[in-house]
Amino acid sequence: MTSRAVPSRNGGPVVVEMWTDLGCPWCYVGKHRLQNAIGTRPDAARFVIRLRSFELNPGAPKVPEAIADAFLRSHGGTPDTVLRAERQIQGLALSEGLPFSLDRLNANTFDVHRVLHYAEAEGPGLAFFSLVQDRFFAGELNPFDQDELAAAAEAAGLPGRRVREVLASREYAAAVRADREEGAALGVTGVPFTVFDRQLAAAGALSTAAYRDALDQVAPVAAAERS
Amino acid sequence: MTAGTGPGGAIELIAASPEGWCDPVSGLCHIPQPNEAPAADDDARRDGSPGENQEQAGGPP
Repeated sequence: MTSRAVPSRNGGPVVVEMWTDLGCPWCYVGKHRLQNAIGTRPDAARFVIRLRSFELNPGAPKVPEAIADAFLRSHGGTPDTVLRAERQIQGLALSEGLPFSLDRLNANTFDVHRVLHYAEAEGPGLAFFSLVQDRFFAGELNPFDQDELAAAAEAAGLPGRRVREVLASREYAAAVRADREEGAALGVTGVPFTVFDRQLAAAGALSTAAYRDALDQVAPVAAAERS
Repeated sequence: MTAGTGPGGAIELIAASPEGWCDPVSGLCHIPQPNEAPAADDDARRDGSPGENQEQAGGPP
């Protein structure tokens, strides 16, 4: 892979932004691989993952429905088609050690994104979203239930009372929309979409090796540092 | 190919083929086919749409 990327300042933080949505299985897999790629580096602590909001379906209903029902309503097809596709990506996720339930729900993710922005402002944005993502795909969390979402936020270290205030308000709504607009300006047409140190961008989920290559381009690791 | 502008200039879109993505227009997520080698499809397009050897399927994102 050739690139005109300029190596990041020596030893300074490197921000990796990932535009994402909760219901997107590839965002789940892609973030996991990105974290694995960062984890292989001796300077892993330099890297800051910032999750950016990109609602795939801003018009999705607020009331959750089974993933298969949502698909059949919006796209037609047969239950068998949906089940086959779900099983394929389930197999891929499980092969990477990621739990993946076929009994997930589907609904509007706007409030999850608003809490993500609150969590980012407070610090544990990645921890919050990762926890929600992990439990959602494991089929253990209904993130469209405000009490369950607030409890998950508490588990990630956020004050539950403040999270409930955010959920009851319109706080961070503008920030969610601004993320989507910025993503669109960068050419985001699907997620995940990853921007490395504002120098390189990757559309879609890459392999762990490809993420590692991108990290190496913006922040080369000296040969002597590699274990 | 670039993807907008960063503080240091254009943000370069890297050449690695994505293995998958979810698309807000169709609402579909690309699913790898059983015999599809990961990241081996050079037909994958940078705009997030599938290449000729790829197929979109799957549940809503």
